[in-house]
Amino acid sequence: MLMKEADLKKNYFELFELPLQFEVEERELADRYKNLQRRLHPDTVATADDRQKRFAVQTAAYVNEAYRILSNPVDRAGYLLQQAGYKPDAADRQLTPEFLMRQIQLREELEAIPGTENPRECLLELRERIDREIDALYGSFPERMRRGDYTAAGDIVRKLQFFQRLQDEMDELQFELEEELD
Amino acid sequence: MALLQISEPGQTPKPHARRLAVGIDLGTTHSLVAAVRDGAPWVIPDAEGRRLLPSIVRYGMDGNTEVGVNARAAAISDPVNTIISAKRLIGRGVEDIRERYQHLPYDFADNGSMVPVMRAGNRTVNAVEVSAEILRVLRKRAEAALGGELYGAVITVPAYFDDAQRQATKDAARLAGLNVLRLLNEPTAAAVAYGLDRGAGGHIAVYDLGGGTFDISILSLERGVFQVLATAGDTALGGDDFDGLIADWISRQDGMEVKDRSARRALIEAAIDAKERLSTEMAVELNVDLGAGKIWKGNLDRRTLEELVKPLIDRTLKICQRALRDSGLEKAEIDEVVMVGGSTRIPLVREKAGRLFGRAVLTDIDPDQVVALGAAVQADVLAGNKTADEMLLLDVTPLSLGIETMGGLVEKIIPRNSALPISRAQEFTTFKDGQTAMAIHVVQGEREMVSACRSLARFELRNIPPMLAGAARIRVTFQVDADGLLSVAAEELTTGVATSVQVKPSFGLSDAEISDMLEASVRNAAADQADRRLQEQKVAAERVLTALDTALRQDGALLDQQERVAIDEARAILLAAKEGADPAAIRQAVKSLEAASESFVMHRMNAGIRRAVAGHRIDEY
Repeated sequence: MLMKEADLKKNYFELFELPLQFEVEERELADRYKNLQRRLHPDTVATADDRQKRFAVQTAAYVNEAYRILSNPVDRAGYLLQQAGYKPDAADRQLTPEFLMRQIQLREELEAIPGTENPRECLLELRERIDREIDALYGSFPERMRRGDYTAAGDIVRKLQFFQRLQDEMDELQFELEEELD
Repeated sequence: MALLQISEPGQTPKPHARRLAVGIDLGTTHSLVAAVRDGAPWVIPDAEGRRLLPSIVRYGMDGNTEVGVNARAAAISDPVNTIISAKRLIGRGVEDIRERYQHLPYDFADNGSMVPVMRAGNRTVNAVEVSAEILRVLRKRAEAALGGELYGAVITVPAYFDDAQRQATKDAARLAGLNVLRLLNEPTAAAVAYGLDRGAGGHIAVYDLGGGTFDISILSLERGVFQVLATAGDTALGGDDFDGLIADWISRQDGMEVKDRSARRALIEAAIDAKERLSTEMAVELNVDLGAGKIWKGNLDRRTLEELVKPLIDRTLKICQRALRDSGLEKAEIDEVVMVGGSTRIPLVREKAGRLFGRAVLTDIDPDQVVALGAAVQADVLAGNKTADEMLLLDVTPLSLGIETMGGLVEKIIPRNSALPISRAQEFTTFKDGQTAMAIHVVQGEREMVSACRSLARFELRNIPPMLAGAARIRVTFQVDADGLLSVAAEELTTGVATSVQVKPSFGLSDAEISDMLEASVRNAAADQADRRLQEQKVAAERVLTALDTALRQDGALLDQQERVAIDEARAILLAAKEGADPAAIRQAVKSLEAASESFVMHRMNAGIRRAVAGHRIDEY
C-alpha cells in the first residue's frame, strides 16, 4: 500500500498511529517506524516511474523526520506544544535568572572535571545529579500539558534544551576520557 | 511463431521473467560483479574462471584499452599510461589529489575542467572514465553469463564517500551503460551478506578496510530490516597506504632514493607481495628488480611489518570508537564484528579490531567477495524479484551537510548519521533592496570552518521577486536521497515564486562534460546494439527457415500450387534479407513469411489431428 498525499499532512503522531501524548513506548515507536519504512521507502518503488520515486523519497524523508522528533524526548515535548498551538519562540519568555545562573555553575563544574584527580568518577557524579533534575522535569511535563498550562510546559522544554546541550558536552568529555585510557 | 513451435511439457517459459540485476563492487584494487541465482548470491567469474577483476586500466598509444589482468601486467613497464586505484581519485580535485598522494605516476593535464584529467595513451582520461571502463567489462561479463541485457545494477561505494565521490561513481556507471538501481554503502552490503546468511539479529559492527578506503558501520538487524545506526571512516586510508609504507621501508634499507616511476611501481609490487605473504608466514625474503640491472635482496618479518602499519591501524580504531559513540551503543551491546576488505587478512588488523570490540571477529565469508554478494541481494530486491517485505536497508548520511555563513563559518543543516532519505528546509532573506539573486555555498564535513570542510557546490538562486531588503523569505530545501545524493529546491514564500537553482559542483563533471562523454560512449554502445539486433534477427530468420523447410519436406504435399508459390516467394525474400545488414528488413521478411505460411500451418494442424485420431476409437479418449 502506497502513501497518499494526505499522509504528508498528518502530524507525526497520526502518521505513527499513536495517541497525541508525551508518553511513548520506545519499542513500539521503533517497530512502527520500521513498518512504515517497509511500505514507503524508495526501495519499494525502484522499478516505478520517476514521479513515484520522487514521491517515495519525500514520504520516506517525512517518516524519518517524524521518527527523529518522536524518539527524542525534548523534541517530542516541543512538538506536542507546537501541535497545541503554542509557539515557543513567539512567547519570548525568559527563564528565571536562578535557572540560568545554575546552568553557568554546572558548566563551570563540567569544565573543571578534566583537571581533577579522578575525572571519570567526578563526571559520573555530575551526570547522576543532572539526570535527577531532568527526570523531575520530564515527570511534570505531561501533567502541565493535560492542564493546558502551555506556558509552564514551554518553560520545561526550554530548560530541557539547556540540559540536553549539557548532556552532549558530558558525552563528549566522557569520550575523550575513555580515549585517553586506551 | 506461426509455425507451431511448442515447447516440451514443463519447459514453458515463465510469464514474468526475472529481471537481470547485479551487484557490483567497484573496488580500489579489485572489482567484482555478482548476481542472485536460485535464491543465493554468487560472484560471476570471467571466461578463465577469475572472480576478481584488477581495477586497472591501460591506455595504449594505438587507442586500445586494456582492463584487468593484462593491464596489471603492464603496470611496471608502463606506469604513466596504466591507471591504478582510480577510486582514490574519483570525485576529487587535482590539488586534493596532489596533496594526498605524492607518489602517483600520472601526468595531470590542465584543461579547465573541475575534474583532473590524466594524459594516458594517445588521449586524456579522468577517473570517471577509467571507472567506466572497469564497469563496462563487468557489465559485459554479467550479460554473457546471465544471457541477456541487464535491467540494472547496485553499485557499492565506501560509506564515507562524500556527495562528489558518489555522484562521480554514478556518472561512471551511466557512462558504462548501466542503470543504477542504487548506490549502496559497502559495509551495509557486507552486513546483508552476513546477516541473511546467518539469519541473525542484533547489533553488527562492520569493519571494512579495503585497498584505498576505511569504513566502520554499526547496524541493527531485526526481521530483515538492516538499520544503520552510525557510520564513520576515512576515504584515503587502506591497503595502498600499507604498501607505500613497506615500499618506503625497502628504500630506506638500501639508502636508495627511488625517483623512477617504474622502479617505484616495482617496489610497490614487491611490497604487496610481501604484505600478502606475511599474513600467513612469519618472515619473507624480498627480491626486488628495480630495473637497469639493479636488484635488491633482503628480509622482512611480520613484527617489522606490524610496527610499520600499526599507526594506520590505530587510526582505524579511533574512527571505530567515534562510530560507536554516535551509534549510542556500548561495546558490550555489539553482537557480531564482521571483517570486510582484503586488508583485514592482516592478522594484526583482526586482532586489534577484535580486541577493541571485545569479541572474535567474523571472517567466514571471503572478505574480497562479501560486498559484491550483499549488493547482488539488494539488486535482486530492487529489480522487483523479491519484495522489500523480506529485506529493507535503512542507511544514513556519513557527513554533515551545511552552508557557508558570515565569516566563513558552517551552519549545519543535516547532521551526520541522519537516516536517509532526508529533507531539511532553511529560510534565507535578501541583504539589499531589490536583490533578485543570491549565492549559497554548500559544504560537507564536521568542522566549524568552511575551509576545513569539503566544498560540494555553489548554488545561485535567481528570479527572486524584487522586494525591500529582508522582506523576501526564500525557503531552500536540501534533500539527500537513498543514494546519499544531494538535490536542492528553492521557493520564495511571500510570493510563492519558485526561484531557480543553478548548481555548480565544486568537484565533479559539469552536465556538458557528462553529456559529451555519454555521447561518445553512446556512439560505441549504439554500434554494439545495432550489431546485436542484427545478429538476433539473423538467428530468428534462421530458425524460421529451418522450421519451414522441415515442414515443407514432411507435408509439402498438403499445399496447392498458389499457396506454394506464395510461400516460396516470401522465403526467397527472407533469404535475401538475411544476407543484408538491416535488422528491420529481416524482421519484416520473417513476418511476411509467417503470414504466407498461415494456411500451411492450418493444413498441418488438421493433418496432424487426423493422423493422431486415425486408428483410435473415440472411447479411447
